[in-house]
Amino acid sequence: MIIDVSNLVKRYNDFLAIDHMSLQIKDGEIFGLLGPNGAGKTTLTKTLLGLCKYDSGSIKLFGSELIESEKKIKERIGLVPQDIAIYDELTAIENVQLFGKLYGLSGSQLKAGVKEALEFTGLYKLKDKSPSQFSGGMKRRLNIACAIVHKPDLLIMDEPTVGIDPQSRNYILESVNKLNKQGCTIIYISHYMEEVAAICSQIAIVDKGRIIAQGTKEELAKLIEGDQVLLITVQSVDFSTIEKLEKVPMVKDITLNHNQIRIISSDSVINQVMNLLISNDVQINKIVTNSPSLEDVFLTLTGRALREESN
Amino acid sequence: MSIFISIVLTSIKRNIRDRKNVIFLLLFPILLTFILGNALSSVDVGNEAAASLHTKLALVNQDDNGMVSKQYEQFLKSKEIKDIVTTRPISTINNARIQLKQENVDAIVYIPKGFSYAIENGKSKQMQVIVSGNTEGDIIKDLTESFLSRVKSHVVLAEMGKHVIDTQMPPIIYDHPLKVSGKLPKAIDYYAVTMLIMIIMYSANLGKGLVANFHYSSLGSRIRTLPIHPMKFFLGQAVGELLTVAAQIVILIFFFKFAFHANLGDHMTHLILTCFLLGLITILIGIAFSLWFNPHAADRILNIQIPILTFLAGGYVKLPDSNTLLNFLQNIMPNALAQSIIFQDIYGRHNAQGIHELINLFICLVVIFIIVIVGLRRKKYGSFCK
Repeated sequence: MIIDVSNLVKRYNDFLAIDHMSLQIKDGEIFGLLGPNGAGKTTLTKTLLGLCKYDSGSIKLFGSELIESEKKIKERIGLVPQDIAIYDELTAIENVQLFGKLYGLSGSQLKAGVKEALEFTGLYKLKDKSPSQFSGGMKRRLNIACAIVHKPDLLIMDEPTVGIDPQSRNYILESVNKLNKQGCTIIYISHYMEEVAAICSQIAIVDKGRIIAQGTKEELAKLIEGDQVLLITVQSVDFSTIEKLEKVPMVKDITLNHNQIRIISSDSVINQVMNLLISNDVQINKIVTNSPSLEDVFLTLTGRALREESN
Repeated sequence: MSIFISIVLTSIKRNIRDRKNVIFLLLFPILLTFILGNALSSVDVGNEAAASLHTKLALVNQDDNGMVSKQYEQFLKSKEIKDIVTTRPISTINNARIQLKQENVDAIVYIPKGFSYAIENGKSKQMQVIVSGNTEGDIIKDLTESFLSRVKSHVVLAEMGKHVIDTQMPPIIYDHPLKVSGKLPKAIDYYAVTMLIMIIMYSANLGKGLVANFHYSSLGSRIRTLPIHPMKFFLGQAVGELLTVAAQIVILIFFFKFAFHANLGDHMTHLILTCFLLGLITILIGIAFSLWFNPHAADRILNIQIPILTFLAGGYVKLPDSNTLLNFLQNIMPNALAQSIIFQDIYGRHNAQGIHELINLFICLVVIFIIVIVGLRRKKYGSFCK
């Protein structure tokens, strides 16, 4: 077990940021942490890395308490922070070199690590350029290069693909898989469900400081097995109609995103919903039925749309 | 290369490569000094001060036409000295004291009987200077000290058996003028020092940025997840900032001296060390404010206090010396202390006062250092895991 969190509690004054959370991450996993803002993901990461104290519970990393051998543990961890945290005044290679030194590398080990990290992120040819000349995606890749220069056993990636182009996103996702195949355990924190679903072998859904569900993508989908998802695109709809839809039997959850109504129900409710919309003079443009996705699982479990809250 | 040195060098490299920073650290003070020095040259501080000086000297010469006292009288009659000193011969010391008491004169110079004879024969003899304690009196004292320092060198020569004084009194005044006019500050001389001090005060921003970046930025959070002691990283960066300021000080001093021909005195080492000490104090002030206040409050306080302290130290315009509160503040303000030390070093005034101010500056350093250490402990920089 690389990470063993047991009964962790962290409070900010009266606010309970982590509520008796327990979490185990095995060696070699890509572990996805899903949750909206304020769910406790960042606090959990900070606590894991010793950036903030916790009130009770225990954290074991690589079998040891963080406080016991912090330096040794930190040498084995890489962090890719959500905000790009590199020095704009240094070139790409100088950035990676500095982080390599700060992780304790020197000499030929440092030289090899720097070259490998830059090649891995596709930035070796641009090594002498300043990050200020980079695109957002290239900066994100440099952000990653600085975290993997010392070949960590555990890499924590906090929203590594926020605000970048699809090409860079694909590059990063491929890189995550490659790193994992090289033996690196990865904690991937994101609110992009499709990314988490695509690359993570284990997924934990976090809400209000608790893990409300955990398992593989398939295991999580089973939690709402038999449920149906109805996507109805309408011309316009008022909230009183939505309230009426919520009262339709077997409807578990309803969200309205722009002009699209998303209904999760335990059985087919299409007839009742259609009748209700027509009787309320709602003009229907499109109807689609789906089997539940990871997002639907989240929606059902938390009653909240993930991306809306995160953005 | 050790990790500490890498952190120091990285910090310096970042400061040098940051164009905004370089503009602020170098171009801004150079331009400001140039503008102030030239724009205010007609109303400059030094000449104005000189113009207002009517130094009146009571000369009690009882040396009976001795060679050295004659040289001193000639020295007082030279054009440069006559411009600032009016000499009034008085026969007795008691009369001269009455004149001083009644503030008719600013200083008395008493040359006792046999003074020249003693000097000519390599013996020690005192020439007395009695001053009223005002600036004018100080000028007489300084001028006479300069004259006597030349005389002393002849005493030494005489003691060594080289009785040069017997044969001819060397041209103490005419061949080696005391450069009195050169020692009076022109606007550029004045602002070269005050702007240098002001810009060093802005080093507080480097100290503030150090804490802000380390404690509140995403880069700082990232650094704190690394296997390096927070204090080691912090200290490395602080040393880097300090060396940047040191380089800035040296560049500005040389620029002011050789490009603007500002009079920065003859003791470059003293000047650089005083500025360096002030740089250290101001960086620590920036760190202290950031440790004890939130970043926005620290920013506001620092940006307000620097112009205020510069004004109170007479950085923009020379302020009157007579205000007691101002004098008290200037004795505890690091910028005013450093400025005063530098001016005294350049214009050769009281050593004792300079030492007193230097001690005060060191007290400032110790006090601010203690505040920083307590602040660092409060923020738990000393512990690896927060």
